Amino acid sequence: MKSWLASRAMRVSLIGAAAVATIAAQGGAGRGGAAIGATGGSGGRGGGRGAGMASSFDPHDISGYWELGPENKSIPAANLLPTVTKAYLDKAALEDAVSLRWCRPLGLPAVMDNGRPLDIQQGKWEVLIAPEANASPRHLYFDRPHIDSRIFDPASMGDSVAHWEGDTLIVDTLGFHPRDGRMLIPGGGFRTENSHLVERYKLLRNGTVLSVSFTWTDPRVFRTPHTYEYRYTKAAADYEPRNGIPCDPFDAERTEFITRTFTPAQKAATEAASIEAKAAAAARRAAAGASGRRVPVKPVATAAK
Amino acid sequence: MGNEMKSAGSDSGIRSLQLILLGILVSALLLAQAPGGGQGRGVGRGQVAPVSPSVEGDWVRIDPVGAGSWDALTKTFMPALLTPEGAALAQGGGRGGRGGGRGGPGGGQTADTGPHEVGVPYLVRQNSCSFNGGGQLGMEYDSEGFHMVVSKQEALVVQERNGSRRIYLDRTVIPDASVRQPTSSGYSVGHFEADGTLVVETGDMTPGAVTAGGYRTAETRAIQRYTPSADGKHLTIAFTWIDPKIYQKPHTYQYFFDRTEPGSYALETFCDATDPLWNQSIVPPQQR
Repeated sequence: MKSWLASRAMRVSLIGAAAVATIAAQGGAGRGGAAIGATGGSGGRGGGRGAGMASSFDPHDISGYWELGPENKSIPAANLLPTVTKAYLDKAALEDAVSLRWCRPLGLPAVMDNGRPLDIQQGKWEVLIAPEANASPRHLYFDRPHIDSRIFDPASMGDSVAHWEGDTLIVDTLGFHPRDGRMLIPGGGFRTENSHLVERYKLLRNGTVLSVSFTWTDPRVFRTPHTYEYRYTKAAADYEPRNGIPCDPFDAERTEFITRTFTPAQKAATEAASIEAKAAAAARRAAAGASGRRVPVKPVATAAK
Repeated sequence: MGNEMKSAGSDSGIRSLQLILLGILVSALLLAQAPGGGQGRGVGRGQVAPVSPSVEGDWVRIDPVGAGSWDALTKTFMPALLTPEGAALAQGGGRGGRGGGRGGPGGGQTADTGPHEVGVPYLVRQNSCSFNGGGQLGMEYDSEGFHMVVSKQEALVVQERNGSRRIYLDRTVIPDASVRQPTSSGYSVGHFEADGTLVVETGDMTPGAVTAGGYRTAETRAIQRYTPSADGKHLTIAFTWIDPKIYQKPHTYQYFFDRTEPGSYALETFCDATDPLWNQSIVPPQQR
């Protein structure tokens, strides 16, 4: 009898424990709190789409295709330093106009609002963000320090490291390139090589909405940290990312269209940026006395891809 | 006494049960934290979770036979054995190139090659850095290597320029070419085998040349087996191209990769049409 009781108790406990194990394996028990029954009417009449899939979403997995609607941005005005004069802002806007004209890759922060869904996939060692746009992928590396600034090549996306705090993925980015990528920051101000960006990714509405708050600090630009928030909606599970929209900087018709509203200063800057203009300037310098040289002076090997 | 015995026996039983439960709970928690165990940051999809060693990470292609160049390495591969139809297609030119598309620096025809007068600048390439839509990496990663992240839905592959490739892990059917515009990366579905090998089937690719004399169309199927070494430091991708209209027998070859060192990071290719370096603008120097 005792033996039977013991074995029965063991069987019951085994079943119970197996259930616990299953739950733990499926969602990290507790952490995956929302689980069944919490799905509610998140999909509403639209149903389906991404929402339907999220019946037992994992709050620590932000993988998916995320769309940003124009109505889903909260962007206050930035509190800029008094030293950030209109002239500085105009200069940053001028740089962005040149980048736009010449189809330069977007970089941060523009890539996070590029008009197309972001493919965000979370793996063991990093979160990878692949945009459908003219931009490099973003790598958000887990659990490692920033690359030593003495060896890191500054980039339009910077160097991003990530870790979880509760249900929020904190992404810290440094190492921005001083020129590459669009410089203007939503709400005011611009990016510099000293900028520091902290992003907070958090799933809302049963995993169907991804909130990303962006906080920029920069001792040369912002008086107080500048924070704004985007809320991305999960695209359909069967969504297939597409190619970006081509951009040809040597398409004269597009150039005329895109520069039609440029100021004279912007037009002059875009023309001066062309390699022909730069080569001609170099030739003038060479003719003025220097012997012929490569433009600019930099080892070929580093440029050849 | 009897009660004491009973009580002691009961306590002992409860303690045993508690120990068993504790052990099972610890196992459950360990299971939940294992890769693929579903703890959020884990990889995989439960029963098909990739085991360690993983295909995830950053990989650079290597030349294991010391051929000296990628072209020379390709010459060591067994050439594709083509059908007459396949030979005609292959001879007709590889519209998509080796995987085509790329999505990198884009464009850029070769400029005049000289001779050039001293002090008069000329461009080695012209009109580079056009963004061509960027999307597709193609099937055969070049010397830039690749970065792969495995989530529950897909294995996402990128290089250090724009462009990406997706291997869907939550889908099993390759759409018919009639419902989808073929792309240079095609449409890929994948699954993991017990040893961590990622098996990828791809179809619906744009027509184009395949390494070692092969060819492909939207109907061609490619099987890629990504097999990590036991120590996780190396990766082999075995390619098999199947198309009875094109190949007399499946066309196979392998690429080899090394995992980048710990602490490595992905560089960024910033293609700037206004950067003379991209076009190698050169002012011919004085000759001595």
